[in-house]
Amino acid sequence: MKKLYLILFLGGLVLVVSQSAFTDTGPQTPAELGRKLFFDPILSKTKKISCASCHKEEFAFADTSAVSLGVRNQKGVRNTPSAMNMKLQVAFFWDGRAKTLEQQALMPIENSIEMDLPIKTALWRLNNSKTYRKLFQAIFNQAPDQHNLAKALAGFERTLETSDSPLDDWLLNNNESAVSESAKRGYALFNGTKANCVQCHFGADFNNTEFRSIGLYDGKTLKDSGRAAITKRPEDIGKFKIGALRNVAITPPYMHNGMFKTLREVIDYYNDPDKIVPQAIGRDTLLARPMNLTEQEKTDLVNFMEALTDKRFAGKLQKF
Amino acid sequence: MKKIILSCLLALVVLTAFKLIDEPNQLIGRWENTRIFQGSKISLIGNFKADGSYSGFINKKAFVTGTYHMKHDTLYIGDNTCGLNYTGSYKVQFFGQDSLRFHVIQDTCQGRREGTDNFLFRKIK
Repeated sequence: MKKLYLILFLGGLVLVVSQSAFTDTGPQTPAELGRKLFFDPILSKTKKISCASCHKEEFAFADTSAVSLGVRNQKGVRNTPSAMNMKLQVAFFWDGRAKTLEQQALMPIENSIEMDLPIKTALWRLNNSKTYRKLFQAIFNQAPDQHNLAKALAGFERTLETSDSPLDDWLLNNNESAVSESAKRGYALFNGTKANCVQCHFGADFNNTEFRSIGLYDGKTLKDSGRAAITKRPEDIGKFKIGALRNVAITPPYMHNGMFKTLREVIDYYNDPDKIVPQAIGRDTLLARPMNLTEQEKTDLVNFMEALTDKRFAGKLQKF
Repeated sequence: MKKIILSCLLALVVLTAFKLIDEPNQLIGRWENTRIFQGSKISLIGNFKADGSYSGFINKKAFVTGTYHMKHDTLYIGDNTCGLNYTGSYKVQFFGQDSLRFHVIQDTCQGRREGTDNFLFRKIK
């Protein structure tokens, strides 16, 4: 009899443990729901593209192509920026056309080259999905609508912060061995008067909130007017949002059009922009004269930027 | 006479000894302030090192590195973000050894002033 009780008890225990182990609790917060939506192609017209198709998690939620492919393999017009470290940003997209992350979150869904799905249709799909209807109801106490969809996606993006790079470790924890001597020299150059990168790349994500022209508009071969298309002001021609530098080493190619394949090419450009774009219109006066960096200094700057790679992506560095 | 000379020498030695002992720099270490920015809580940390350099962090992300020195209770602080060779000055009010408040004396660097002036920072380990 005792044996029977023991067998029944153990059997029950196994049943309870196995049931709880296989129960999928699913998203429980707006950000968790946003993550599910971010990876779900339900938000594209063809149901083949998700936000994550261009914002690839393994590359710091950026893409490694000059321009990404949207629905029906249409080519985008600008390089996909990282969707990480958005929490402190005050303008979104290369031209700053969205002022909040909620505004930004819905734009690629409707963009005809990217996901090409009217928001009305996206909401119709979500409302007709038993799973999503249930999740939105549980999390927002509402059926899916434009506002809670944006809130979920933006909420997810706000969780994508990185603050565990070797540079942070060195400076915050006084860990002198966290970065190489070359990277330390690179950081000094970055902050110093010779390279003076810090004039534009400052702040927690090394970008600032401004729009600047680094000289990648000449009206002939480089025709993207950038910020001017939004503000309609001639003085904004060729200006773009200053690119954030956290995890930049794993997000090539670079610039709004992805024209530079490596960080070294980027440094070579800044070192002497006239050599690469001789007839630039409206280039910032900060880049008026060549920097005259030595080869070692260029290497030091690249090593510094590699030290901005969050430790979760450390394994990706060797690929580039 | 001997006594006077000896006393003077002794006084000189004592005074010199005091002169040689530097005021301990109470600012060395990491100090944190938390505040609300755009509806969410953020952390601002300043790490002041013994070598006269300091770094600032937002949500543990390094964002600025510069130099500083203390003279009595006044902090002189500078970095290239705020202008080459420009130094802002703040009175540092210490509360025991675990918290402090900065009071701007002069600083034309708006970002730094807004980030520090009148904020309470607590020492972290």
